[in-house]
Amino acid sequence: MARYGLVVDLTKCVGCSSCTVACQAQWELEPEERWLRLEIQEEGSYPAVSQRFTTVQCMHCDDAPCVRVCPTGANYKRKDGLVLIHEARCIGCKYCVVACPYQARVFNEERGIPGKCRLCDVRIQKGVLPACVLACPAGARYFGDLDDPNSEVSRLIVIKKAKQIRPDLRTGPNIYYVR
Amino acid sequence: MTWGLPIAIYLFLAGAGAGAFLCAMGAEVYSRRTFRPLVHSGTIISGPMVALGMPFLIYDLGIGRQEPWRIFFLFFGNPGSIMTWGTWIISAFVTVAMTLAFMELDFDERWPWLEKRRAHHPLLYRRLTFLKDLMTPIHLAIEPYRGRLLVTGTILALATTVYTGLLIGILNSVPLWNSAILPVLFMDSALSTGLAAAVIYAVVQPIEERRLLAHHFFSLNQIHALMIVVEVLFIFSWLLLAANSSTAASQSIHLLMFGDLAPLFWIGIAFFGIMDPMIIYIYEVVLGKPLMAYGMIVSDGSVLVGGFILRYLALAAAVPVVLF
Repeated sequence: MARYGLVVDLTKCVGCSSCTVACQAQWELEPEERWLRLEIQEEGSYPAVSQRFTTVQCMHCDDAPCVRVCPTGANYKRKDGLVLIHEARCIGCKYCVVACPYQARVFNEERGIPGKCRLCDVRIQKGVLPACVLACPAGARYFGDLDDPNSEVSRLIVIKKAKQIRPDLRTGPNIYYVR
Repeated sequence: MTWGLPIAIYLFLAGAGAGAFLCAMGAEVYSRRTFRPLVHSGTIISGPMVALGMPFLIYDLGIGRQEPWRIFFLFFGNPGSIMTWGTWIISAFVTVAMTLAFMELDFDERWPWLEKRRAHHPLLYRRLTFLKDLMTPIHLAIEPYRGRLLVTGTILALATTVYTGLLIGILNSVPLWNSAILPVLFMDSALSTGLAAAVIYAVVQPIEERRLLAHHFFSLNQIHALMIVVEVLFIFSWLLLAANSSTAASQSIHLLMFGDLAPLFWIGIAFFGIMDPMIIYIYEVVLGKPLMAYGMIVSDGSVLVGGFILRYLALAAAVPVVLF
């Protein structure tokens, strides 16, 4: 079975937020509702200062805290690796929002349900790349099957030594970053 | 802040309610006859207090508030979730505590009080007579099971107090919460606020009850002082360990002690929660005799304020784990 994930080459990222906007357009989100956000860290001290960009979204963890804590079983891990929300079962308790160490979930007050990156489940089902991957002008984002050793993402992880963010939290994130 | 005031109120009421039950049980085991008013008030208020937290919990829900039938998913959706355990524990506890509270409503004991007012409140008298005739058979039917209910209730009350700490304690997304001290701190605070609530309820009762408990204010306050000393040790260890663990946890501590939450922390927890009751208790020891009922209301009222602010600040000071 597949285990879908992303590799983000941050050495190519220019911090333009195209991925955020493409995601918002795809899922018709409000401007302040970001399922994919750009984090900016400043590094070094004057005069050698630089900014580092990181795009953070749902990591589609193997052992996802949101799935573990959800009292109704509305959060679930699909066989192809996607962490999704069964909205008809959600009660809106926000336990998952609090439990996610990546703060990847945004609570939609109007609908009373949390939202998050779905790795564009409806697009990949039709064989189309996720919106953020297609929109990235620098070509920094790669989508693929992490279980297939010959896939582009698997090879990038090996060749460019892509790493997860905070794997020490033991959630088994499936988004890898090249620094 | 994802979880705010409504959840803090819910955690506080669940803790204090279960704590009041535990204090009543402690008093019952120690000596039911001596501490009769405390057993009575603790048992009466515990179930309703925990139940009172439920509307706040439901108010905080998103879609569950608009479509309340979804709340039934809570019971069997995911048996591994701490919140599911909490749902089981609290539903069972409220049922047991409400039954015991009902049994505590001794109609015969209050009867002389009502008889005296018969002429002035004929309607109330008739209503209560009807209620008495209705309830007495049920009362007699469950009376033999009281012992078993007390044991079950004690276990469930302990589970409730620990649950409120475990709910947020298991999350590694907030290092401040992810501490072994939190469940025991919440349990100790639950006992202390529960005792305070039970004593206040007993003190505002009709005069004979107040006089009965007044003989024991001194010893009750010594027990309460011990609970607060333990609480101070727990809070101190919790904050000191957190300040020296991860970046996010030390940011939480900074926020609490010197940042935006500092006024609430120093006035709410340090003064109302700890110093104010302790000063009153120490003053009593120096004086060699207990203060009057009003003194109890002041010290125990400020324990309640401190206990509530402790829950609120634990939620408000949550700084998420640092990712980079």
